[in-house]
Amino acid sequence: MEAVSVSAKLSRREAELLERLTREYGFISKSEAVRSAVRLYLNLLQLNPKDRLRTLQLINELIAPSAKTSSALIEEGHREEDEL
Amino acid sequence: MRLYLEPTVLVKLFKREPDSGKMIDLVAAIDSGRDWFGCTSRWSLLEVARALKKDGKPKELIELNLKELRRHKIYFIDVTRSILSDCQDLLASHGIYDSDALHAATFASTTRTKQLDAMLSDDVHFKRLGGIVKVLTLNQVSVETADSQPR
Repeated sequence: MEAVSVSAKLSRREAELLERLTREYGFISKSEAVRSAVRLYLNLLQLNPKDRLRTLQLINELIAPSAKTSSALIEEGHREEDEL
Repeated sequence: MRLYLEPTVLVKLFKREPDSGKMIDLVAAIDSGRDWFGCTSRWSLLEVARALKKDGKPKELIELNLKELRRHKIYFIDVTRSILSDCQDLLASHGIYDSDALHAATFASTTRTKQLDAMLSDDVHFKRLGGIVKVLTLNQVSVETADSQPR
């Protein structure tokens, strides 16, 4: 398999997170962890639009769960603008 | 059906709410193009971003959500001088928020050229604009699945 190298700049925080998660998840190297992350992300983007939206909705829910409704969030934004 | 998608329903795409699955079906129907058309103001992208930020979503996830929103066949309408002028008239005559006036003015302007049927929204403030904007909620729109024809 022909391989192509791609480099990426990370912030210090991201580099530290990569270091920690590479150890915790037992990846053989940071490169392997990055490859897995990229493949997972590309797989998400390759899903058909409806499945991609459903998956993205789940990711949103898992990363930052919240009980606030969409209309409450929009209303909150409007009220703040009004108070400025 | 030809709909203006107001931000309260667009945010549902990225949250799990009782009717958010229906919103995904609707966007899939718009993508399929058969008898369904969806549009919104470019301003909606900012409102969606702000709502997601308020919801505690990290920057990268907000960016990914906005990229996703732009990938569908939703038509984004520019905020023109003419729309802003209509918006000023609405603000002067109704007790509504700036953003609501912008959506109402964009809806009215787009209806003239693209014959919209209604604005899809969960925002109760639009009821005050009954004469200008016909508002529907997701429960009033019948989308079975993206693969089927609308009733």
